[in-house]
Amino acid sequence: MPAESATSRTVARAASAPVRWLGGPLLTILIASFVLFMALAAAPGDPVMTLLGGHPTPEAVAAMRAKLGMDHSLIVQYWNWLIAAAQGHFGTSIIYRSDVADLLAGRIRITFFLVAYAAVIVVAVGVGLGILGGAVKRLGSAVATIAAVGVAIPAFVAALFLVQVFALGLGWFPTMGAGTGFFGHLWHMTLPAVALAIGAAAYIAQITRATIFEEQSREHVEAARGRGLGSVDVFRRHVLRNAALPIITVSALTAAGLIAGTVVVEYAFGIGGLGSLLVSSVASKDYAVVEAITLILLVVFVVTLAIIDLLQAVLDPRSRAARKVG
Amino acid sequence: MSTVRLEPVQRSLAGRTWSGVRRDPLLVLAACVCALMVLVVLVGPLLAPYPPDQTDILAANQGASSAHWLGTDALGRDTTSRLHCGARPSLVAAGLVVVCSTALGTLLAIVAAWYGGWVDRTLMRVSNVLFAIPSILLAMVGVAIVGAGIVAPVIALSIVYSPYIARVGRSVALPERRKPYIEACQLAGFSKTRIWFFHLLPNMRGILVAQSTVALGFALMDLAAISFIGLGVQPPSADWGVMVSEGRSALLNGQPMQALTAGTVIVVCVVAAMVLGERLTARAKGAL
Repeated sequence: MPAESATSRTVARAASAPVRWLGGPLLTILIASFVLFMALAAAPGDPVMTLLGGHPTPEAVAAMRAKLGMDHSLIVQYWNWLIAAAQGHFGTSIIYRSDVADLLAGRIRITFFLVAYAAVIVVAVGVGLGILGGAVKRLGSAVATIAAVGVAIPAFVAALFLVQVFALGLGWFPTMGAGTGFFGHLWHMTLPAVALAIGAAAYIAQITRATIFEEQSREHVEAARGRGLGSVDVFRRHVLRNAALPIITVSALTAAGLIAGTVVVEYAFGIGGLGSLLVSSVASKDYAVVEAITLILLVVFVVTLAIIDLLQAVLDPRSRAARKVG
Repeated sequence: MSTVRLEPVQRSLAGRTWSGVRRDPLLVLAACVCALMVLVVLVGPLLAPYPPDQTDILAANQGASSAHWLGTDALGRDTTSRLHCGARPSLVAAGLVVVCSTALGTLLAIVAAWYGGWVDRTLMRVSNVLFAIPSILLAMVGVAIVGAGIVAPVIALSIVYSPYIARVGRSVALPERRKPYIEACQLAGFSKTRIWFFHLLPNMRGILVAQSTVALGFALMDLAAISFIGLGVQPPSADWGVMVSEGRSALLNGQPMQALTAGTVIVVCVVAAMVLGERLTARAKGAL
């Protein structure tokens, strides 16, 4: 009997966990997309008039409104937009006079290449520098200083310094564009990725160093040292393993934050991704494109956060143990 | 027999300052840079050797010289003068974001801590939604609605930053709320707002000031980025972000001075604000 109730409780918990895990991000996306849609609908300017131009007849206006689905109430319009967006239809751009989905197709790949490239740099350099600063006492303050300055360097300032030194000065990398093919992308987007990564890498270095510093003063580490274990062994088995989880979590969160940063970096390097299109669409009030890109970036960001949440639960032995007991 | 001489407890201002410098040199240095920032905002245009909008086509795109210490831009405007005058649009907007987000965040923190229960839970859930929205994206949506300019980004950033202040403020307000002096105030029949703003708020001051100083650094970076992509402060205003943006084409043509000096000024200000904020946070936490 107790065993049975325990099983049913486990089942209930197992069923409610995904609901809880999915519910938060879904709610966030719903609220944010609703606010986004309503705010842009309330903005001055009428896309119908822009599309028709000149002095259209009232019949033509009515026909265009019906064609764009704007003869429904705003709530219905929002719902139709969300359902269409979920299927990959984002409407028509009033500037480019073409399907928004077609406009985005090639650009999405470039933007996510840039984000992934920068994320690799952030994790490699940030964690590496942080471990170095935490493990080697003499380097600690040097790493702290570098990280404190690095955190304060905006991506667009870094971009211009990198172009000046590595593109114009040394001529190692091109100044603009995204290149073609995998290696072309790799070559063209090295400077943009570094510019995007600097702030985040410095932040990760700070967190990593602080976490390792904290772990090193814990009692079980002192005890391991007291038992006469070698310092490398103590560091690897007792410090690093305990520090790993928070470091992984913060690294992943920071890497997710890079998604918004691409806007500025793509503009600075003239890369034809989602970010630079968003900048020009905001300037020209091309709302269908603004809505589409903002929604895509937001969904990717929120979903990444949710995956991090899940990973954290899977990786943490304590929460695994808690689930077995419960 | 020996006598013990007691040091006087009260020390001179200079002595106290010096001991402060020795105890935390970083804090003093960062505070000095921040004070300099405020000074340039107040009197910057007076220090400028030329009017910031004075063009001189014959002296366009020059490097450093005795007439123009940091060179000139594509229209022959003096970079030094524009940096001095650019402090106002850059720093005042960032300051405004800090004031608005701190006011909003503090109010949310006090309300959440005071009422607890479902009020607290709802406010924290809303702040979780806001955490998931990147600041620069919200600022861009704001610009898409009301048009390019600094107003929409300032409002957007004030909203996005307030949950950070609210989080930290709440963590201090919660233990304060349970202390006996609050109960004493209530028994004395003080009104809610009087207790909030004259008794609870002064005890949250340290951490709030520290956090808003950190926020100043972030606001400066975000606003400069928005001006850089052409959606914030509009030319010909001499905002630092605009200067980096305008200096970009000159840099590609071999005149890097304007872009790199304006960029460096931004970085120095952000470092100073963040280091000062971090040191103040450490102090406030130590005092708690």
